Amino acid sequence: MEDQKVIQRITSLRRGGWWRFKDVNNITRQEPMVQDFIGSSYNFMYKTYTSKRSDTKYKCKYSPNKNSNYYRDGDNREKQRVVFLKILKEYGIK
Amino acid sequence: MGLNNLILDNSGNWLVKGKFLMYKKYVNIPICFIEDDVYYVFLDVKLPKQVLKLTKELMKMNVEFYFTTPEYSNPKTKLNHNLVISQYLFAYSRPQFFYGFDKIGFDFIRNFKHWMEKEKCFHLLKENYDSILKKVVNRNWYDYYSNTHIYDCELDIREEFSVMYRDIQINRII
Repeated sequence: MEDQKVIQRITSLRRGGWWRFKDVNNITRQEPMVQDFIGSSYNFMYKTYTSKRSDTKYKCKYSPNKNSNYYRDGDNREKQRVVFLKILKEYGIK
Repeated sequence: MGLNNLILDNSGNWLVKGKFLMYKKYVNIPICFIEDDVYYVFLDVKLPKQVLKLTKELMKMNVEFYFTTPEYSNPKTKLNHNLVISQYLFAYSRPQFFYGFDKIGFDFIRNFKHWMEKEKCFHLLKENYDSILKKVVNRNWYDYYSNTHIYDCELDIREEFSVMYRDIQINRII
């Protein structure tokens, strides 16, 4: 399933003849195919861990704590950290 | 002797199709073929682990084998020794192959020299070597924050490449 997703995404990159692509073997491709993108930055960018199964359907590629734009409600580690630093400053520890 | 002997595991990713041995990574990618009883392995940066495993197996089998460019898997590519020489040098500048061949104890430069002797194309080496050295190995940019030159290739690889041409010449004399 994971492979299918990646192939699907890479296939969408295939464009017309005007677009030249240099693959990992330093070979310029006039009309790149799926195999030409393997090992390139596109390949790594389009990797996924999600599947159609219920347990991995909404799985994130990266930790949500890494992404600053990720909006989350409720209590989370970032908010707890801010509160914790405030308490430390109050007591003059930091 | 045949390509079926080179299927290294039972993972189902290895496949013999036509004259090529293939490995499946999203799609089937050609990795090896036989021509005039000589094994040719595609020196493909997409499949470094598989190429190293295959090299180790071929070393065990004690057969004549050389590397070639993945472009030859396409039947419309015309035979050009410049492509193969530049692929030999380019792939050796990648850390996966540079440290990988060292780890399995394979003398890459010797194999390269043997291939050039077989094809009688030593005169093409210098031009390709200079090109790869300048455009790939010594490629760098200046970091104004730390006032240093940052290189794409590691120091070990740059040092090895700086004496590589001389090594090949010495190998040729010996």
